Amino acid sequence: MDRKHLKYTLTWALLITMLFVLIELLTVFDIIGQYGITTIVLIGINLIAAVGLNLVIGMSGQFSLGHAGFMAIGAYATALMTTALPSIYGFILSLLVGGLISGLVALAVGIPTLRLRGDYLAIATLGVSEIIRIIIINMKITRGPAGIFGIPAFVNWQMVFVLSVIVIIIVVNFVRSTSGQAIIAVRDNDIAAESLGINTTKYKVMAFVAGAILAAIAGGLRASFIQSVSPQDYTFMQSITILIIVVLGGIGSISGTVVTAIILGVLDVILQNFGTLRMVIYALVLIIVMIFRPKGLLGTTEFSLQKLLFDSGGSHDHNDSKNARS
Amino acid sequence: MKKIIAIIVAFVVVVGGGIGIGIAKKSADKSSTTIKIGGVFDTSGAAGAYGQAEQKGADFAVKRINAAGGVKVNGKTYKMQMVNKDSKSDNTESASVTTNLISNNKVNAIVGPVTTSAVQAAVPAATKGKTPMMSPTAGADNITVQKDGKVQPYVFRAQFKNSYLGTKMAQFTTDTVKAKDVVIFQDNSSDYGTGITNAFKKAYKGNIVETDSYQAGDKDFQAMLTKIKNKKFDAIVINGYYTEAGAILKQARDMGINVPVIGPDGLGDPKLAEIAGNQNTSNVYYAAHFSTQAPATDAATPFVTEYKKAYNQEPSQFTALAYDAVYMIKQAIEDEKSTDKMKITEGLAKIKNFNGVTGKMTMDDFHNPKKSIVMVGVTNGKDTTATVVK
Amino acid sequence: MSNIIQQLINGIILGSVYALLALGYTMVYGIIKLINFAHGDVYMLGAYFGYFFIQVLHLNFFIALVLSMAVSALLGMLIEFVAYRPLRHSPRIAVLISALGVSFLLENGMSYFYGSDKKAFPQAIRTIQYHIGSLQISNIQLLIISTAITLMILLTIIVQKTKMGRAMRAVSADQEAAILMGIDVNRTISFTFAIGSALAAAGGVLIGLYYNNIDPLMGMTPGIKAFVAAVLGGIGLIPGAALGGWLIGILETMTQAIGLSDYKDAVVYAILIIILLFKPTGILGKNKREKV
Repeated sequence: MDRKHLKYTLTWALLITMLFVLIELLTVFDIIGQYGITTIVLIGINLIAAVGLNLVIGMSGQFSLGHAGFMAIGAYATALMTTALPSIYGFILSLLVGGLISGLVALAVGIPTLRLRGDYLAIATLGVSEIIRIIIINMKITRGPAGIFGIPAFVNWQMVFVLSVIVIIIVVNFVRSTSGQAIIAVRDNDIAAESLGINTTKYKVMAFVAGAILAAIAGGLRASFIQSVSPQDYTFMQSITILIIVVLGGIGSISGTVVTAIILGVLDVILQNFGTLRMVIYALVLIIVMIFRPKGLLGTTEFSLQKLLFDSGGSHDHNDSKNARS
Repeated sequence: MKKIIAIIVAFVVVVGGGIGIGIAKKSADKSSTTIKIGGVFDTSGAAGAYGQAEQKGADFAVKRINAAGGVKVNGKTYKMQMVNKDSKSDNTESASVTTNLISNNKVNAIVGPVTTSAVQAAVPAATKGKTPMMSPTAGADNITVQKDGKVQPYVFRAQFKNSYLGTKMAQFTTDTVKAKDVVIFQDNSSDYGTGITNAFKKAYKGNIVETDSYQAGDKDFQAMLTKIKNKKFDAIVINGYYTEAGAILKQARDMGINVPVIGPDGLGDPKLAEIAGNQNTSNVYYAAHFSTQAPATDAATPFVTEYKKAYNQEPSQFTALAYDAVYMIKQAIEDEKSTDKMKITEGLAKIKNFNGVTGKMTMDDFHNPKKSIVMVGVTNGKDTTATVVK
Repeated sequence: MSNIIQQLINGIILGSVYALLALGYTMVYGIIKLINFAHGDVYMLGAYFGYFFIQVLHLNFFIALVLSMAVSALLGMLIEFVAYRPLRHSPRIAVLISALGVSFLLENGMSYFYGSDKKAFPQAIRTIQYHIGSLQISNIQLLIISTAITLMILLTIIVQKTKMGRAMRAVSADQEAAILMGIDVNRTISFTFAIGSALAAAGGVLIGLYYNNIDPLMGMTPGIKAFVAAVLGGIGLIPGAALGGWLIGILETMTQAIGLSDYKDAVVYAILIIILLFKPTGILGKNKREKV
């Protein structure tokens, strides 16, 4: 088992390294150009935010409409701190500070609302996100609706790539851990949870805080990459964009999130040419995917290397995520 | 194990093939006779109305340039071509679209984006790609200035700076309208509204009775107007766009508030009078880039007639500015006798006495056009007076 | 003092439209537990239908109002049939995304075909201002309030007294049991969408007439506000939606009146969150204990 596990891990590592080398070569020989790099970075940033949101929805069974607010906190933290402290250490510090503030706000919102059933988290987070944005518009230090620009650039695609991989590894391991599986199993049934002696609210709040921190990191990365922030970037629509990635990929399926983030990123590239028609096409894609794949593109299953490469018929259910959602 | 080896082999083939194709593509040198202008316009989303108007203006300019024989450089005739991409009123998308136009479409110059924050997001992309970018309508003072106070080498605009606009509006309010007490309403959702308000406040010598904010998309201004109704003021200044200004105008007049209303160029659209109703659109003054009432240059009147013929509607300030942006790029190409991006950038910086629809323009050291502001007075929904503010 | 009363009147008028929209939200949520994001866009389409009937067909305002309610009701049923019904047994969040898709489709479809610029709504009824002391109210404002109240009364009668209304309540209370009682669930849900959409359309036409301008994105903000109103009053409850709508209207107006216009929306959301913390099911909602 251990040897098999090692082999499995090594194969993943090999695949990820190969992807990294592939992108590196494509950039070195300038085949995908600056635009390709931009697209890869933006996909990576959306990915980090979406994985965080997937954790929240998958773990709590409630959805959040406030991811934009947490991204905004991270973005402005990076914007303000790296402007004052323009070094890579300042940047890393700003990501940590942004994550911390965002996590604290999430804690304050999550503790009361995650206790409730129904769509209350959605409404409360929608409200919080809008409040954050309105405060940013009206504060002097954030320079109001114009936002901040000329933010030092520290983000390159390598950094986003590595961070995305780290985030995915951490989240996947947490979801597959014993407590992660337990939460998912009893998520929708408080009584079962109580009888198992699990404090579901505690884990839901933890997932929510973790999601908020990841959103803040994504926001910080984007601020440094685009080199400007403005409150218009973090409206309700931004939360929706991330939510769509998660649901289209399949709630609880991290690989689904990865695949959808990439597909939607590439779709955006194509749709840029369609002008006003672009959002019409996007809307139709959403409706059609939902009607034909209501559980998302990958449903609740995870892409499993073990199955693909090492399996000869037998089932390894420890890799199939059991977080089925009905 | 076989599968893993298969994957590695496939990987090597893909990488090798990809690089091969890439090099082949690069070596295929092309000598083209088109000048590509990239258009970064928000044709969908919240700023869609403004983006669509500007895209029409830019397309119209290119159509007219080509109809008139294209651009002649060193005896060679080039056709102009717009490559428009939608940035869906999203700043990240505006950066991404700009990069796309530069690195994939290999445009010679860019017209757009529409709003200040979208320009801010696109500046690094344009700078990295060493491509001149001419925003028709971004107003914030600092978009053409770097952190250290130097000029942004690749960023230009056709629009007035917000501070200039605010200052001139204040001057007009005192000198021509002779208002001593004013109420200011500002669009708080963009820098356009707040930027002009700040400059206005600094320059205005009279008394500001009240400053109130609204958000783009608001329709109900009853509360705001009820609050000021019983106060004493001689004029209302609306720093925002025609969409909300039209609604404010209608509701104010319905309430019996008949003082003069003064606004920036955002009010300059025929829709203002349509939304407010003609009978309510009197005693209104807005900063105009062009006006058939007092054509700034001889380019204005033919533009309006031709545009009406082509699209069967009146051009707005947005349309005219985008139109001029394209013509300025053409001017820069002809002046420098080159379609090279660096040359166009240099040419744009040197533009002098350019005869545009929106006035005679000269680029200052910070890539802002120096042109005079015309305050157009509206009576019964029609432009009736024009005052040049020096 | 008269200013405060005037602001209160302003708030009630603004709130009437939120209330009309919130009713549709609350009915749909009550019956299929869906936050129907496309509801605000049906309101927008209602306004465009009204525009079409008055501007192009030159119909009388009230006929146009009724017609656009009818057309929107059909549209609501169509949306339900195409985008929500196939997802009846799917996760709720899938329906939510489908609703978002419909919302994007309506907004951007309109903007593609008719441009995203504002259209001036024909002034079918001349504005007349009435003065009562220092207070001021126009005939159109009175029309909005009276139409809203009439429609609410009508809705209450439908829900309480008719067979369809009883079916709606039954489906909302327990879908399984309703099926066992021989209620056609699909028809009932369809009917709910029709009613909700008609109310939204009425709101759209009235707003078009009142503010004199309509555009493809006009449903976005009121849509979200109406949703907040429905939650504030107690989602699923018809009197709750009305109460929530008016409350938000008054709140917005009052925050502006006391000089907090920069924080107008923030105040509304903050109050929503505070109320949810103390009364999770909204003002009129009853706290239900989880069944064991």
